[in-house]
Amino acid sequence: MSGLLRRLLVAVLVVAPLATPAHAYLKFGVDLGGRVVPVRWAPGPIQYFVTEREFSGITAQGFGDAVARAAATWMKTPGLPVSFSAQGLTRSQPLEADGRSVIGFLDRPDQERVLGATSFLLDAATGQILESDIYFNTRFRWSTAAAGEAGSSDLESVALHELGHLLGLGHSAIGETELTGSGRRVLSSGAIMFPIAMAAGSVVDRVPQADDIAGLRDLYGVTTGGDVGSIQGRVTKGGRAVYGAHVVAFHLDSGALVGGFALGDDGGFVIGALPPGPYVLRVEPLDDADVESFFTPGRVDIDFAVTYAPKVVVVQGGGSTSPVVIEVRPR
Amino acid sequence: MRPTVTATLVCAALCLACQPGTAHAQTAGPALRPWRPVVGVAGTWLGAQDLGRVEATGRRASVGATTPAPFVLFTTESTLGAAVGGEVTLTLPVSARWAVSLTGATARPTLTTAISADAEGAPNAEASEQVADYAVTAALLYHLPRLGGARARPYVTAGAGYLRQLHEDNALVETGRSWHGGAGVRWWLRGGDRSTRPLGLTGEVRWVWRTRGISFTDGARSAPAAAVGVFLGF
Repeated sequence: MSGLLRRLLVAVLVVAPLATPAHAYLKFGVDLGGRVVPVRWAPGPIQYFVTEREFSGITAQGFGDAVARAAATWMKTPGLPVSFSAQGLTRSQPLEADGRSVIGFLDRPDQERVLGATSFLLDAATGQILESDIYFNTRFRWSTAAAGEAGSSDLESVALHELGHLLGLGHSAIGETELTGSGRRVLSSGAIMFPIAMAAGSVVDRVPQADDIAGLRDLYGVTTGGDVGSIQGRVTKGGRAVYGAHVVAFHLDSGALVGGFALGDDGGFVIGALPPGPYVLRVEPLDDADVESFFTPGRVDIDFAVTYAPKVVVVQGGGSTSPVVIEVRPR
Repeated sequence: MRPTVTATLVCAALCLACQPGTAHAQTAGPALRPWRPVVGVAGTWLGAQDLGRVEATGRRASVGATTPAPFVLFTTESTLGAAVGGEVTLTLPVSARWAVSLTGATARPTLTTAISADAEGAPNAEASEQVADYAVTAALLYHLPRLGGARARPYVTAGAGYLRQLHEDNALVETGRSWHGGAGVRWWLRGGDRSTRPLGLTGEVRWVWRTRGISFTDGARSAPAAAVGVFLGF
């Protein structure tokens, strides 16, 4: 029992971002005796159950099929050392620390703006994920229709996002939003792991983007599927470090966008798992979603203008670039 | 700039093409000695090449069968700037008029990416890097009759070759193909009588097409080029 409590305590701490240097998108990390390790699964199949609960006209079978499709989509990333293994239905509920990874509907009327969420149970000694549950909030209408359904959130799209968390991915900031009376509206998204969902009925988020794939490859150290390299550098303002700046690498050959954050004390950033080629770097303040969606606010500096690096940065396979220093100006 | 150079090149080619009818009646003039190699060294100029326009885009929400246009975060337009360089050519005449050549050329152009239309209103910007550009080309040359009484003979040429481009600090190599067509003049300072080792000057204008290498679009890109140098026969 005490062991379980210890592990649960670690699970609470998992919301902290991986300490410096930050990598592409955001990886979850946990501090183990002063050593920060990424939160991820041990190699092998990830066994999961879906709940028997039916909701919004979606049967348990339909629910499980949609989750399985999302799981299969992530597994298209070549070379991943983990896989998904559906174990059938369960009467367990998400968020119960029972050693089973459970995915299902859950009544969370208190979470009026949360479509779904993912929780973890970690091994306190290794940081490895032992259990991860996902709930889909019954406060919202859901759909598993192939072409989507106006007014209903697409279960497969949200499952893809939450399964990304389950694998260990944090949020990506590649997206543009505008403020509305009730919150934020997504103008565009460049990553499945963007924290704000597309409008209800949209099904465009059923396919991982370059940022998501780079994140997964980086997290699990995948080397198959082509050489990759990384971009490292610092973001400064008046010569001083800028904390929390969002740095986006744009591949001039493919048009792919992969992001990272300047989370080093010196404004340092690393964007990993990038295909070789020339990149344009764009630095922007983290102002298209709540800072809390990414990491602890407070230190995050959003008082600067969008800035482009003056050099084309070239990534070579298996290597890292020379440090790139990007000086930004106050808005 | 480009249309003028193109027009010049086309006019030169047309004028040269009109010559043969009367040229056969004239003295052939100075010529390279068949099967005696000629080495040339030249300074080159290669015009700017448009490497393409690429947009950084995100997906918009889509409900039903409609697919909205992507959201453009910003737009890039890349250019490989004009550059001077050098080349070494080994020419082997196979007759008084025909020759084959092998050329190695190098230049260090600057790749500039212009960034515009930022969705968040960032001012337009540029990012750049220096590129090392190498090409090895084989070409066929046909020498036309001499120009008037001068010790010069025009020629037309066409060739193809291998392109190797290195990004700044040799971080990455990209390879491609290169083709060219053009015309030039060879001016003998010495020799040309088929018994004396020739020495002279050359001037050549070309139109160059390239595929692959550093480029952000499919298909070929083209640019004018020119070379001025000396040649020495053996």
